[in-house]
Amino acid sequence: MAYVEVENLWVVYGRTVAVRDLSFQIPKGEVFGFIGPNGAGKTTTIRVLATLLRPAFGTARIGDTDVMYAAQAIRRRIGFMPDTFGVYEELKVYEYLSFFAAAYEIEAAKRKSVIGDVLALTDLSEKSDTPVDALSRGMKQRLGLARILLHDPEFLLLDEPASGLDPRARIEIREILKELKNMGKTILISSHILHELAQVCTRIGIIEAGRMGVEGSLDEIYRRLQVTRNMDVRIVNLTDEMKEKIAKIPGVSSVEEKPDRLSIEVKQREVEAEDLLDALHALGARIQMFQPETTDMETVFMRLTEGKTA
Amino acid sequence: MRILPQWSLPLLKKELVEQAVRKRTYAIRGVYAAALSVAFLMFFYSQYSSMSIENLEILGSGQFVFEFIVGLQFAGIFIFLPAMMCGALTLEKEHGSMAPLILTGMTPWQIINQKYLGRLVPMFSMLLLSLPLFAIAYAFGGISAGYLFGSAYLLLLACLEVGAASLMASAIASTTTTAFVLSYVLLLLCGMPIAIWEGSAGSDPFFVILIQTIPTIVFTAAFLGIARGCLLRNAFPRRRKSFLKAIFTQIDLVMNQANKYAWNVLLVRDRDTLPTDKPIEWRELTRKSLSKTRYLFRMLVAIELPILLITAFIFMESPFRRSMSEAVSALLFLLWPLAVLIISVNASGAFASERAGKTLDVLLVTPIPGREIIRQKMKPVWRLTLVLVIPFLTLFLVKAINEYGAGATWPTKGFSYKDPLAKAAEPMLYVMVSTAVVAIFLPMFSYVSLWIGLKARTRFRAILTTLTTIVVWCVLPILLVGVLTDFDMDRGSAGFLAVFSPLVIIPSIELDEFLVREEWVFVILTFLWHAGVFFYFRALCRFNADKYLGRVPYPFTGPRATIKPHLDM
Repeated sequence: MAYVEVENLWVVYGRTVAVRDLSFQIPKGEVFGFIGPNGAGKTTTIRVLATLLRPAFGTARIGDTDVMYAAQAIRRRIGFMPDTFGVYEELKVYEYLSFFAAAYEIEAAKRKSVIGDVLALTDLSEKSDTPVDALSRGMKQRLGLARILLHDPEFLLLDEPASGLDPRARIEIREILKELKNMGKTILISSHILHELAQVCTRIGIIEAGRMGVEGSLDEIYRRLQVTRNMDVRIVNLTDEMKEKIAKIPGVSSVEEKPDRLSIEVKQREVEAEDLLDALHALGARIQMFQPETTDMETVFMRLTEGKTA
Repeated sequence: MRILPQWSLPLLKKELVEQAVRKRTYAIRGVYAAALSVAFLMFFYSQYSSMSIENLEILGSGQFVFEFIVGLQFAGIFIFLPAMMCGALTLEKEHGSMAPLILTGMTPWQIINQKYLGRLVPMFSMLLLSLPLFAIAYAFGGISAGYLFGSAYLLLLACLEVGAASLMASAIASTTTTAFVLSYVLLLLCGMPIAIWEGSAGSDPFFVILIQTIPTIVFTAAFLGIARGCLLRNAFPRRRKSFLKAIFTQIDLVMNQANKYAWNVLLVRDRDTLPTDKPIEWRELTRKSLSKTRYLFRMLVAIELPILLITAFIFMESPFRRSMSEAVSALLFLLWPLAVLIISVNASGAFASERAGKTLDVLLVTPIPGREIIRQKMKPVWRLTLVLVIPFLTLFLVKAINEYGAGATWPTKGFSYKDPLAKAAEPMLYVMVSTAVVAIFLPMFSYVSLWIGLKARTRFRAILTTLTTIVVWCVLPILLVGVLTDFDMDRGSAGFLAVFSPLVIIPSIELDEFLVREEWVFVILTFLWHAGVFFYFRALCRFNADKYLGRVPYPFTGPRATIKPHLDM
């Protein structure tokens, strides 16, 4: 049973169609990665789900509640972090969270413990008395996450939460997301940092020019697209006969001899690196170097998108 | 172009292209042309309607028409040019495009000159709109070639000077709003071309005008020089918050120092509170410098103290006492625009600043209802209004007391002053009516400003639109009364239109002694109209709060679309 359902969604700005006939579902507890080039319609879709935008056509439901007709109920159920957001810089961290705790009508008696919990989760406990404008960008991003967790929402909408952050801050955000995933939150996250999405997301949807290109789990997408992966191998006793045998290993698409190595192209998810290594050993190859290329969501992204905007 | 790269003027080209693609450019030009033509036709009609075309009297009368057009053009330059020029550099700073601009091969002078020209060209195009009107005026005769060229030269010079002053403001300021205010303040230094034009009245030879305008040329050059100097120094200004914080820190220091001589009395102590159930109101009233009680108190003192001192001085000095009422009226005429300006800027900027700071979206996804967000957000504006009401009431009371005391000296008003109650009737009436004007007008202006601010995308646009709307609203009905009276409409019927202008009733109460003339119908209609405007905009803001703020309204009762958009299916 899907927790979030978007059906035939159309969003129009004047004469520009930002989202056209978009449909997807997110089961409860899943982390859905929303991928697409700039201007593809990701933010627009997220804003519809966040009750900030009315669609021209179609429906969006969160937990069987229509986003358009029960906006107030939806607002209590979601946590939304926009791609760029400001913070009230004259406030301290604790005051900022108290402000939003009051805005979400959390009982005054419970606020202290709730704020303490979200500060601990986002590792900002030591910064509770720090003015918000003194925080680094990464910390502000974590403060944003703390803010959206105050009212314990079931569904989190995160629009580019790691954009513009340094590697350490990105890893910290990723760890928090993993924690939230373990807590059973349903999350929709858009990002350009694809390999990080691959580590967190259980499903992804690739959107371009307002249309959903592909949607499914990572394995499904790799399989459906027959994404290949290169393994660079240096074999000391390489012969033409061995090369022909390597090309016949199941799952190997092609073998190309380069001046200092052999480049073996395998079908993603059909042959894992360790299987290929075993097969090469079985053929009697004496391996000096074995280097699988990293799994690349970028390849999937580039194959599925042309950089078109809505 | 390639041979002489310094003449390629890329920034000027960009400025002109940007303005050419904006609909606003053509809208402003259209409005300017329409206003100029209508004003010209009105003047022309009032001058020549009684003359026949064969009448020789008409010959040589072109000078009046000419002077009227030149006067309008000066007004156009002073009204439009600062608004057009003030964003030339501040917009680059606000959009973060100043750094790439400076890092190009262009020198600061090239940037200044191209920006300057880029904003002057549209103004020149607006001035050219009056050429056909000049031709008509010239055809009537009475204008010497020297006067014609002298006036054109002075108009050009006024453009250059006002433009340079506004560009300087743009180079100094960090935001367009500040540059906008500063530009209009600097206009006080730019009145010389008009003074020379009015002084010469067509009689001075051209070379005399040339010599007289040397200070204006020097001023223009100085403004441009300062703009050049500030371009790099202020290219990356400190954030507005830090600037404001610094100002308030300095005020605190001075006040704390001064308080040592006043036995360290502390009227209001800042408390470290946390929000209870109205977080937006809490933040607005306790965390924003301008809304804090102690700063509001200081503002009250800054306005009220001079008023009390001036009135006390006049009260004590018997030679001035007779003109007490006039002095109080003069102070009220100063206080009204100040109060309207402060309230309008605050109300229109309330949400525009949230949008600019990108803090609105996160507020809108909370369950606080839209009208409650507006109510809490307007709390500091009401506080400010209350603070501003106090000087108004002071002045009303001072005038009433003075009139009560001086009542016996004005027996012509037809009141019997034997009975103290009867003697007090008129001053009391004055206080009541004046207080009612304040009670209706200030909230009305705040709601109109709030409505404009809710619809505007930037703080600058919100403030500019609000102030323009208020000025047009005040002036247009009065102009229409003038036009209709010129077109022989019955003065009483035409005067009815004055009810729609907020500007008419205030001088009417202060100077016209309407209470004596018993113009109650006019007063009641004015009150009804403005109270209606207040309630209309209040309802508009409250009932459409979610829509204006930019989120799905709740409860949403509209139908669901059943037909897919036909666009690009």
